[in-house]
Amino acid sequence: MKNGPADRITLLAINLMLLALVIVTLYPILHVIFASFSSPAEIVSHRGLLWKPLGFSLEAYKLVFADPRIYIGYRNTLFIVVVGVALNLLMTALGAYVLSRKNVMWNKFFMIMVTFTMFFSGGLVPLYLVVKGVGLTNTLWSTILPFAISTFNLIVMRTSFQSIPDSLEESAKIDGANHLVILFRIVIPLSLPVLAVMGLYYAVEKWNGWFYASIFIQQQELFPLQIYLREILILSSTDSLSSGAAVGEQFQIGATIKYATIMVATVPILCVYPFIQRFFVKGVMIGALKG
Amino acid sequence: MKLGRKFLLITTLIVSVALAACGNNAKETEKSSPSASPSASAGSSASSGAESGEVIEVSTVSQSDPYLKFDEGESWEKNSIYDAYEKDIGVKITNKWIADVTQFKEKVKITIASDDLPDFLMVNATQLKELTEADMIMDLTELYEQYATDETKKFLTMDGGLQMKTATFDGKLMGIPSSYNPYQYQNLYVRTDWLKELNLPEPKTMADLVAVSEAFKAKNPGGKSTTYGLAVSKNPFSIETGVTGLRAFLNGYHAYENIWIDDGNGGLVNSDIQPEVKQALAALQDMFKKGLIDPEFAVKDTEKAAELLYDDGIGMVFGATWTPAQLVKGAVKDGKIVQEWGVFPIPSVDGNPARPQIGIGVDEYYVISKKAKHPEGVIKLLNQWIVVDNHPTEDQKVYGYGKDRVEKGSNYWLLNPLRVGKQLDNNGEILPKAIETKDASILQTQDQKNRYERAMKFVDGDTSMWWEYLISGPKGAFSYGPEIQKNKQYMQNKFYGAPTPTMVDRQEILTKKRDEVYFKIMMNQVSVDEFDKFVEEWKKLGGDEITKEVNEWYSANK
Amino acid sequence: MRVYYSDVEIFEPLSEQTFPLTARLQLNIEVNGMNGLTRIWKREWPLHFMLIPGLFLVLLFSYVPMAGIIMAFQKYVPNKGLFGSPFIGMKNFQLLIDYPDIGRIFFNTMFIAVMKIAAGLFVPITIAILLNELRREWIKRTFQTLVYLPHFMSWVLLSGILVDILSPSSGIFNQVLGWFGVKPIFFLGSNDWFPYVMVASDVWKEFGFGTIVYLAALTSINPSLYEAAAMDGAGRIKQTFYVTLPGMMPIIVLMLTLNIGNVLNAGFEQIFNLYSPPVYESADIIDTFVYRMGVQQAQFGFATAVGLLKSIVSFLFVSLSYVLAYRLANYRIF
Repeated sequence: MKNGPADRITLLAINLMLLALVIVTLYPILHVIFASFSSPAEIVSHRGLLWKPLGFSLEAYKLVFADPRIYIGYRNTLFIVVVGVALNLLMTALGAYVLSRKNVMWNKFFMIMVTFTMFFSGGLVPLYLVVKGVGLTNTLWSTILPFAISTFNLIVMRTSFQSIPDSLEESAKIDGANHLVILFRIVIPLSLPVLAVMGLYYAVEKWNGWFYASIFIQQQELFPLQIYLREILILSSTDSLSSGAAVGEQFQIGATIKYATIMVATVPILCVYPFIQRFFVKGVMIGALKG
Repeated sequence: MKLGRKFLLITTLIVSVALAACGNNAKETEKSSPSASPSASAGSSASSGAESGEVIEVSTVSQSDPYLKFDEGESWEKNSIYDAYEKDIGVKITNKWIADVTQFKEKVKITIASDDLPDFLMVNATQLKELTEADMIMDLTELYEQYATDETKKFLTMDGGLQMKTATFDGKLMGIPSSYNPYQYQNLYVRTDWLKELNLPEPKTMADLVAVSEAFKAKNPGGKSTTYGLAVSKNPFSIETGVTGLRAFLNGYHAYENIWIDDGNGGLVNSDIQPEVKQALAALQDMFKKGLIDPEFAVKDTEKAAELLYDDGIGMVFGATWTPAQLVKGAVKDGKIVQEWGVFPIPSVDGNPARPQIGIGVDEYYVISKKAKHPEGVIKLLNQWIVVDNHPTEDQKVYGYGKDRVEKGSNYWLLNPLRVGKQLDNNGEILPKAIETKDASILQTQDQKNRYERAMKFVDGDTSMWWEYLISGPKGAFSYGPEIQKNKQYMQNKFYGAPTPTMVDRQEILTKKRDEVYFKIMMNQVSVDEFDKFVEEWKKLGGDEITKEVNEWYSANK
Repeated sequence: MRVYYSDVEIFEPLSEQTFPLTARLQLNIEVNGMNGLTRIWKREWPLHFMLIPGLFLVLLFSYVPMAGIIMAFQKYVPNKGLFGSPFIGMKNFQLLIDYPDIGRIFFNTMFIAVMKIAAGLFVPITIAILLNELRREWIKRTFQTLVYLPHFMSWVLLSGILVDILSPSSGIFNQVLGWFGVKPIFFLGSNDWFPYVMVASDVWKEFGFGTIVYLAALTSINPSLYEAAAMDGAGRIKQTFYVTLPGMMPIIVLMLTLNIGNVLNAGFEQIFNLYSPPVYESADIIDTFVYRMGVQQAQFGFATAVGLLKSIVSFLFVSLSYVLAYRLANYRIF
């Protein structure tokens, strides 16, 4: 396909616009990176935007990584993300598959029942009582099982499953495939982009989640990373004179620790996306049809 | 009302953090301990449990703190302080859960709502009332009478019994106040190097304050492009704002933020709607018009507003006694003092001195669950804490520093599960004198000794201790206290009951309307006469009802 | 739970689709006797079996706690529990209705939320389509990776940066406007601007992340359609309108319908960190109000009541948009 001159101008315009967007959206993270490497004394009295690190210091990172609980936190978070997302995807895919079949008894009812949970919830206290009642408090499972299915993701995945041509499925059925085979051999491979997106959604949610962990988990050794990091953030919060009373230099370091902490908490999850992109390949469907 | 509590924490925490900051030479912190006799006598009745070999167990919940550094091999489950309690008074402490400051409150709510109380825990005033009404916590009247030592009883009524009264419902003691000293006054902090450079007098009246800020802005001794007169941040009227607030400014006009004051006829009125406030707001509007207040203050939190202080843009700020600990971030750079600050009492609009507003000195309470098996254990913890916090023997220093009994900035005292603070102190009388004359012999409490030592370090050239000298030294933040105390020149909230029913429903809208109109007047968006409309609205929106309820309470509790 | 069951029945689509099922059953029974039911069961049990684990979790962790909704009608007393606490009727709702600024607050919430829904749909879709036009894969990927970064920054942090960017005295945004002769504007302190700043900054934070799902949807468009369009002489712009957009329509309608459920969620964390008393008039939303009330009273009843009200409203809105999508565009999303 050749591009005409009009097309080329359009392309240039698009590129320029996207470049502007990148600059605007890139700034926050640059700010965090610069600040985290800056000298604490200079950051404190600095006003306005940051365009480069002020001085250079690794002090903040040293302090963050000096805390052994960071590693415990990483371990717990890793467990929650890996096991949690695997379970999320499995449950969501199973649910979405069943609910995407046509003319299945009670499906509409189940669909509405699931959708209903998107709007109505009983609130935190009853949920806590249930989680406690089934003995999940103080386990990492308490952050996984109650949130195994997100209705939103389920509906999106179901829609995507529905768009797969019936013919593929029918031919598999004729070959004697059962539902599980159809799901794992045909439907899922054909829906990889959507599955990848859902996986990303779940992973981000699990990675950033701290609230339910803080409510359901009592033992500090089971806290996910985000809880530790929030605690470190308190070091630098405006409130810290009350809660932690850092003074002078200590407090100054607090200002850069905040940013180092954000880096430590964010960078790993940022690295997930480039992997997800692999699944965004055009023509998967066509390949499958031909093969 | 949180402020006082914060102060308690701060004073103690500052000690350890600063000690950690200055490293190895911290080991000489403790000197000879005061007479051990009272502790021995106080301890004797309490330690009976341990002697009889019986150990009782009490459960609680704790607040973790990033500044608490555990010794090798110790943790919340097992540490030398819990061991000490078990060994000394026969009380074994367990935690049902631990959460940091931000999550603690949320978790307490859930704990209460799911009826899952530990044997004892710390709650706020509203929760105390709720738990009392729900009959979930124990009436402590007799228990306290029986198990609290005389020292404890004396310690918790140092203020004449006001704080204990706040925990009493229908004559029943329902909680132990997590007490602190309410007599902490805000001050005005001014760049004295600028005053000198511009040849200006110390600000004594509100007119002086305006004159000084005008001069600071116009002559710009800091040489910065953005300059204002007075540092203000986004919640200037909130008690939570310890530095960059405006409560003290109101006080300078004999106006006060949301406290209940005498109406002159034996009743109480709310300070938010008094005509003095209008005057103060008019003055603020005037300063705003003259560019003496940052027009963007409404969106800047304390830290952002303080950047202007650190950066030589502003040379004047109101704040609590610990303000120097905040100012030091900009005042001392690379070991050099680059800004000089002075402390001044709140200026007054007229000949009458300004009266700083203060609270009662308690906003949180330790309550004991009705289901607790050994409630006496909690009172024993209280007795022991008062002993070890105020006059520890060499052995009892474990409770402050851990098993090696040496201050190393690890904040081990945070592990004590039940802590109450002094309701009165004489830091203002002792410290400035001691530091001026370098006379350590008149120091009384551990707190005073620590502060003295740090101030001396500053005198000897350690600039990182600059802030302590400005707090405790001659003409420091503490030094104005005794005068105010002596003349009773403060304004204390006369209402200390639990929130009334209408307050629960309506306080939010009253505060919202108030902030809206105060801010708009300040920012010159509306005329100062809007204040009168606000007063009418305040009354209609529930203010009158609340006033009625408060006065009913007042006549019953006078 | 029974309470909600009856709610389900007024959900219009249910009656519509239970019908075919009953009809189908009837037919089967008529034709095959009771065996029809058995046959359906025989054919469908593996499917139902696959649904059991998920259904169990939903029942346990979503439906059982729903009993908590009765707190909205109670003065909840913890040690009496959900079933022992005294009922106080609609008092919690009354408190909300009697609130003097309630109209304003609802307006602000919906105004900001609706604009966010619209912008949150329009911008990511546009970007996804533009990206789709790019031929170089690495540019596309790099761009996508970079613009989704702000999603991971919290509003606490972003609000600090935003205050600097938008500052009328020193902010870069006002400086740029200054080049065009515009006088400095105090965006965060002005009731005229505040809601739009919330929408714009929300787009700034979320559009990159929002683009992802549309990019995924784009991959499922059959390339042969483009080829066919090109053969017919359609340029890129025409291809966009005749191939790309129709191909994305199902996901767009789906997202729109689902997002309409957020009509009363205007973004608590963002507004809470950026608003101030001078802009309460245009910035105060339901969630910030409930938060401030929560400081005054520890009761769960009020918060539950507001939550329930929000649920009902969003449920109604989504039902409505579902029906509209079906009737007007013939899209059946679930």
